[in-house]
Amino acid sequence: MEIKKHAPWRAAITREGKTRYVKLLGGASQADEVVAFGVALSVGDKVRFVSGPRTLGYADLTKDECESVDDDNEILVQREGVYDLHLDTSHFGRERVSLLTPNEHSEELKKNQLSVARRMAMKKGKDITLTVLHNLLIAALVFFWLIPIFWLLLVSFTKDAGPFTLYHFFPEEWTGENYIKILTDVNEVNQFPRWFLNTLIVAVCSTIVSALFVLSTAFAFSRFQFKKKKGFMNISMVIALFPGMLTMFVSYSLFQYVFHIDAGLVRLIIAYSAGAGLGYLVAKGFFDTIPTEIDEAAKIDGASKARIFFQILVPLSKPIIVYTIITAFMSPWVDFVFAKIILGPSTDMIGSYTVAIGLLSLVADTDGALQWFGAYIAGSVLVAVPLSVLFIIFQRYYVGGVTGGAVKG
Amino acid sequence: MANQSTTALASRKKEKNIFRRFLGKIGDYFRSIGQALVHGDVWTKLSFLISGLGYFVHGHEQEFVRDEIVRGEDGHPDVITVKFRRYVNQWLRGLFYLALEAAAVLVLVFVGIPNFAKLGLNDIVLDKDDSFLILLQSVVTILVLVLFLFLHLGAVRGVYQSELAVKEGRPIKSALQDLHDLIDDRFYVTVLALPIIGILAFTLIPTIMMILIAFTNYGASGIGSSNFSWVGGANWGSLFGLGGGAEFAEVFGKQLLWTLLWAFFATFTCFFGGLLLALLLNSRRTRFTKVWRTGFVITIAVPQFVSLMLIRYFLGDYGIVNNLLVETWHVIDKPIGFLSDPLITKFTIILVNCWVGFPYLMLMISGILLNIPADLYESASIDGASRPRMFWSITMPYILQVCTPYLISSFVSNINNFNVIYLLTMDAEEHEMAYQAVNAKQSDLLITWLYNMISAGGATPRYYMASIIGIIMFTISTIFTLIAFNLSQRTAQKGRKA
Repeated sequence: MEIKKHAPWRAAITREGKTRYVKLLGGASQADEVVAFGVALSVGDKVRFVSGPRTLGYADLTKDECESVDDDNEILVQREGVYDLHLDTSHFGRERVSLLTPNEHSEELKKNQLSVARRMAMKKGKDITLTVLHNLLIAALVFFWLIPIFWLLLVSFTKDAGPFTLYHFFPEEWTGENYIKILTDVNEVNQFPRWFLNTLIVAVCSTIVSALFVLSTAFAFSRFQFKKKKGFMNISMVIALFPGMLTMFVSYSLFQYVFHIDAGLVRLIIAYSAGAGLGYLVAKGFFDTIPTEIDEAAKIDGASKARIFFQILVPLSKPIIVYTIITAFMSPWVDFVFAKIILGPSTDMIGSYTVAIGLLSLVADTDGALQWFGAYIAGSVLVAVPLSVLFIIFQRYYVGGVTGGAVKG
Repeated sequence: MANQSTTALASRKKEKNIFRRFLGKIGDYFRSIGQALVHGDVWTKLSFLISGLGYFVHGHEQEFVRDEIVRGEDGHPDVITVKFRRYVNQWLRGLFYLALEAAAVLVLVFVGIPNFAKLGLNDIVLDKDDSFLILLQSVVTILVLVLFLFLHLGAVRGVYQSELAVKEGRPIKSALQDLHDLIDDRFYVTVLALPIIGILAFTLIPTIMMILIAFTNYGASGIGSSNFSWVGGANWGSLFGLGGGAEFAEVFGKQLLWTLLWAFFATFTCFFGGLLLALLLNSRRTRFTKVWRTGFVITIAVPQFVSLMLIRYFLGDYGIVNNLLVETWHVIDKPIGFLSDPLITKFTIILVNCWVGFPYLMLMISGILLNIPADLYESASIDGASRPRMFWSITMPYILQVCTPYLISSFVSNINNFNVIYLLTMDAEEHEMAYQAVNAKQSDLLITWLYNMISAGGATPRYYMASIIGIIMFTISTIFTLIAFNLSQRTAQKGRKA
């Protein structure tokens, strides 16, 4: 029986009910030798070869295949040529070496972890006081961190809130006026509902374009070998480092004088998504972890690269797609610099403002701050609440994205 | 010929000197184009002038196979392979390059030439019209021409290849096959086209523009903001105190130092703070982990233009903290200048940045902690290691190894950290004359200073100096990023070996 190359495997030896993992060198594929470290193999041991869920067969270690190497219990098992294995399961000694698939391996690990956790739980009973103190400390920290957020909410319900007249943490008089003002007092200065809609439109459109750009760039760099690929990757890494503020300033001139795009929203959508391809690195890292064997199998079945991308890789890439989408969706809501530069200094563009620059424009000068402070805070709450909810729902994906290859699972 | 080039390639691979290898590659490139010019037929030669011409001309009959279902004599359907011949040339490629050339010529004639005439490299002054626009359109034209030339020379090689194929009777790709390649073997061209155009137009062109502006006097006082001239290296001189830019040199030195100090402290306070939070939250004693984590995550999720603006009001001279300290509790007589005293401001900024950064790093390090292989701890506990020992010998080395590239890249992003400082100090007043003269505040990082310079409402926005600062930041960022990149490459290699 011929053993073909298969998934990476680990080996374990079970002795008196306790499993020790050992490292085996050489593969069953081309192996003419298998070396086991940290455990003594002996004549009569059974070696189980596994590929995926399928057991390929067992091999007895016979006298001339085992050869002691040194005192560290390392034993060299030598075999020539292709394995000729007996499919004989009848007699298993107390000692055996088996090659486990990664899945089996992680299940064994989990069992061990559980028993460790149980032992810990028993210890826990003894130091309840420490546990309570520990959690109180964390609660205090969380409380401290949330003070500005509480205050944000409180100020938004304060009557006649002004930036320089806040003497108390809790409002003296509660009111919902600030919310009513920001939503209904629409004039040439305040257009909050419109800004909100603008931001939503820009966010949705630029998210679609950015996600497409990021995924396709990552796919091209992960799955193709072509001339100049390395050059492209190096250049893209370096030009992304030029301060965006300055490039945005030139982009403004490009929109204003070269392309003559006057619609503020179109400018913003283009500005937010045009350079998105540069952010391919995280997604490429993710694609790289998907084995190329899948592509090859699909190719043999006659699928084109385009089909492989859309029907195989994209469905497998949910975490990274979600990460790309939330980061792209968030940026128009939180950005207050680029949007301002792109729309230009003229106030005619007020109808195209996003919430961030709109709200900041309300309190830009002292007069505005005196008049609009409460409404500004209320508007900020209206922006922050949905964003926070989104973020909390998708934080798992976010963490997976920012830590890149460092975190799997 | 083919043999020669393969030996050249082999010797090139042996060449260790990167620079010489690069030159060698360029040499190969032009040699292959020279071959097309010398050995090609008249159509290949003409393709130098009319891009892609040879693709229309070079063609021949090729043999194809097709599966056909036929009914045999007994009436059963049967699949047979039919061979047939068809004339093939590459008109689609030809058309593409022809259109490309037409576009390049149009850009050159209507955008480039009128502006090149005004560019005035010799008489230094750009023009009385809008110099910025002239420069911009010239840059766009040159980039279009360079791109076209690059593709065009590729096409010449391609035409020569097709000529050789036809002569030797080898198959060439039909237009249909070319189209199919775009969704298969050359699908990367399809998917990269739009992203690359976007990057060229809105990242590369602006970057080139800003680098060029460092060599002009765009925004210098006394000259209208819309026309300016080349000044060569004069701006760079004033950066080092030459030619009457003493204030600039002085402020620049101090702000560069402060930027680097800030980046260092911001990176390390957040790393260790985040590590502490992560250890606290992931401790076996912690209950309700999800609740606490969500509490911290909310502070990340609230937009900074909201939370940091609020903290600015919080800590202002007449903000609630000072109000409580002075008037309610009478702890101090005068308000503390959290955000108005230049020195205290710097401490405040770093502390507020901890508020922003700890939860973020906490999230990230928690992810790493969960990912440390459990069997490491298991075998350590079998060997009788104590808890602190496990922390210092397993947890810390693991986290440091994973995080080192991240720490460097976060140092770089802190150099470019605009939000925290801008939002906290946007209404602070600067009293030092030297700083006032160059639109700076003592608490400014290079990036916020740069923004103040280009967005200075009434005053003249000094684009030329802003672009110099931009180039310097760019250089620093590039150096640190390359270090981080090399480190992570090395870690990845180590990981592969292990």
